[in-house]
Amino acid sequence: MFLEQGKISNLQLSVLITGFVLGSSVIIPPGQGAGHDAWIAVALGLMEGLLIAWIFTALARQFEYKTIIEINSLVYGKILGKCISVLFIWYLFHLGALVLDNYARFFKLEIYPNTPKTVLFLLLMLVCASTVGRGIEVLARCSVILVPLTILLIPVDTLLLIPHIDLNDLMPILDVPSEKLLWASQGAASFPFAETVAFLMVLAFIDKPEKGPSAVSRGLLIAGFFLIMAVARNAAVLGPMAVITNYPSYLMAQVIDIGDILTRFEVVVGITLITMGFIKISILFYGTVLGLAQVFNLSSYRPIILPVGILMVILALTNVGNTLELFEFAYKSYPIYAVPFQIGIPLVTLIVAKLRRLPQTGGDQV
Amino acid sequence: MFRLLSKKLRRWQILSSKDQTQTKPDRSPVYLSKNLEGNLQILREVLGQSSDVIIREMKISSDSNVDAAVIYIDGMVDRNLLNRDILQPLMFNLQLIKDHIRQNHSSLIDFIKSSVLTVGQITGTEDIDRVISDVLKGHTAILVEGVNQTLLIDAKGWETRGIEQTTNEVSIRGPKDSFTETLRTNTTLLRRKIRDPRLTFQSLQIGERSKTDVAVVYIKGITPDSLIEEINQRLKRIDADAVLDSSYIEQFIEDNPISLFPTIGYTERPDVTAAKILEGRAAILVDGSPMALTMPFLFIEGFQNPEDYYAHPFFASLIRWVRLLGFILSIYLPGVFVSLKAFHPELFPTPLLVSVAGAREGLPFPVVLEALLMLMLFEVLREAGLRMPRSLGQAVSIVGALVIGQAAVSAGLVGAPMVIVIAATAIASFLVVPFADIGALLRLLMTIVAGFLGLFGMIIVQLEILSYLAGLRSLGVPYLSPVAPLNIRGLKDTFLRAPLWAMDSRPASLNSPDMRRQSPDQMPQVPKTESNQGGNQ
Repeated sequence: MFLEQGKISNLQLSVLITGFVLGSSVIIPPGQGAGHDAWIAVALGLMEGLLIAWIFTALARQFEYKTIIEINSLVYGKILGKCISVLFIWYLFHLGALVLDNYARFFKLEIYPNTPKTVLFLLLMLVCASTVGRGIEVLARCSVILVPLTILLIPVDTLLLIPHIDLNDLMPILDVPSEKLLWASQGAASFPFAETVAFLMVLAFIDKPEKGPSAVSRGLLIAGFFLIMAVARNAAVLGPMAVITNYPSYLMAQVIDIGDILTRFEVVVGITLITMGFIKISILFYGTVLGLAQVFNLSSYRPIILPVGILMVILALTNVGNTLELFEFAYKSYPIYAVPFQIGIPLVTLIVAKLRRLPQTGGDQV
Repeated sequence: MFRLLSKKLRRWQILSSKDQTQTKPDRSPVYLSKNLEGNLQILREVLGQSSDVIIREMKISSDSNVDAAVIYIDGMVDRNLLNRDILQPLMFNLQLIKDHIRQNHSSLIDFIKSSVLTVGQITGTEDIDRVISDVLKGHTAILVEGVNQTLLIDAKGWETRGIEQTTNEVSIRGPKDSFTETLRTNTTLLRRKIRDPRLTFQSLQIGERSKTDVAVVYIKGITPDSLIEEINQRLKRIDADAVLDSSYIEQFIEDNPISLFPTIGYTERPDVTAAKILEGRAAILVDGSPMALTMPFLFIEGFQNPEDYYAHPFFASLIRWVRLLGFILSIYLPGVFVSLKAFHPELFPTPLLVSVAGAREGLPFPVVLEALLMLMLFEVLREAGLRMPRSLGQAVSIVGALVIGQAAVSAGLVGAPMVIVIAATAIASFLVVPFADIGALLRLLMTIVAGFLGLFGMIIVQLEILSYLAGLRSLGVPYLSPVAPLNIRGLKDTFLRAPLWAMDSRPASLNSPDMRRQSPDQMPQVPKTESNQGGNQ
């Protein structure tokens, strides 16, 4: 079954992963629970994320880069395999709705208090859906332009904020109790690093499969580096405020002042960050529709883009009641909720596949 | 969004083509007979009673029974050539021809071809359709009594415009000649720039009625064969009544049937065409059009200019950035102004905000409407300035300048900052000519969206445009290459223009089979011995 003809290069894969990881994490930085040691939590999370990435790329490599849906059918048989695939697709779908909700809520709260949230949802979804309709190749090409431009914001912001940085805010290092730190780092691993498990739907289309794992980890490392930079900077600029505010990266941009001429350009920062969200939502949405098409043996995923897109918007609109609930979910429940999808499915599938000696090396499966 | 529209369009096209049951009449070729009078009869019938069709009958032998006729279209034939090299030899060699007939009658036509006529290009044919089409092309046909063959002589000659200076793509240092309406002149201009024997002009005729000559130009071994094949396939699919300009061809062979952005480039400069062919592209020349089409056309080419390659690399790179900036300004500036004013006033520096707010004091319209009004006014003025007879053009610009610049502000219709914004936009929009048309559309779109949703709406539209561009292809080559998909070596001629000695390979995105353009180690160097001595002293 060939639903997608496009191929993406390994460089594009790395860039996609970087954009994906930085997606909503630049708006809601991970590791908040660890206070001013958040950056350590993020670093630990990055390591766990790399481990998880190693598991799922090993799984993909074991099956010569098929999508997770095809792998599930091979490993568990048709019916059980499809059930597990549907669970995985649910995770992508739900996560897509969460990211969408994150972004729309952020804009509603901080920039457009008078604009109906539905409009923001629909517009974001529309542009993601139309890109997904053009295929993974187009999305990858967009990312090559968008991600470097947007990532530049982080070091530039940091440079402009140097007068406000107080490194004493980061002291003393490793001050928080270790269980709190570990919990925060599990939070940072599950959001955003291990979410790259969604790339089990994308890895099938890279053009140099033998270098796939290094491309994935390269993307994760770059994203991790900039994320640690952003989180540490937030703490150093805002001090204790960084933990209290919902959107520290945004709040921080308010402080920037270039010779009294360029001031208050947090709006620009906030809006530029859409581009990363665009990539994250598009990848998750792409995984959902491609997965559904593969589960139901459709010849193309394009006809289900519109209905699934609408469903995603509806889920995002009704998912959580208010912003506090969303944060509660993100920081308290999500690190556990995500485990079966991020580690469970790939790891168990890999073990079962090894035990059943799949795929058979008879060469009959092409 | 656009794909949906194009799908609808295609379906509609298929439906309408189903109704159209008539196909091209399939006639078997008609051949000439040995009877001169009969042949002439047929030709008269087909060519009709047009006054420009000349059929000149004559005797070519002192024997009374060998008649001949010369057929041509007045005005399309070089009269000097016709009189001196066709009519004169035919009519003055009575004795020679008579002698020949006595010896060997069967090959009279070959004899005329080889020994009588003193012109270059002669072909023989028996197909009467070919005779008609060639006569209409400007050839001269000779028919002889008793021979079922005709000679077609290329003695074309008509009034043409000479090679003039470029008018649209002006450069300071480069060559100044430009293409004309005559295909042959244009091919000559190219041949004189590239004397490679592998430079190929592959010609075909397009247009049911216009029968326009079209030439695909490429260099064998540099332009990929797949590209030539693709172009030929697309050209052969064209079944149009007439091709009056190269832009007709462009619209028929574009990748995306309703593309927003041009996916085929055009130029009036032979040097640009030659450079593009040498990069591994193909060009199409169309008779009757002074514009050559070049393909594939990539987004970045819109920002390249012939002057870039003749000027100093640093300056050329700077100008590239200026063009890029101009393009960005021309699309976003009004939108950004509107969204700052309407949604994010805190982004203005405080003194500027005060003056902008002061200027808007007492204005009747919301800022979006004001921007749209001024933009439309600018488009109207631009169009009027272009289409007006030249003598009236000045009046338009004076009125325009007065209306836009002064009266509207002092009458309290628009604020002075808006005038500045629109004026800057207008000037910036002329920097990147290939995208000037689409720029005007995007500008309006951005302004409207900015009025509703501010910067958020603008960035959403921007993402859609980017993803549209990333999906676009020009003859199979991704439109945004070499930036996306990224090709590091290809970047030598994008945001920076590397010195010519450093551009040692052809653009990789074009997949040329022969990537090597020049030897790689050509950096000019100071002679070592002398400079060292100078340094030591």
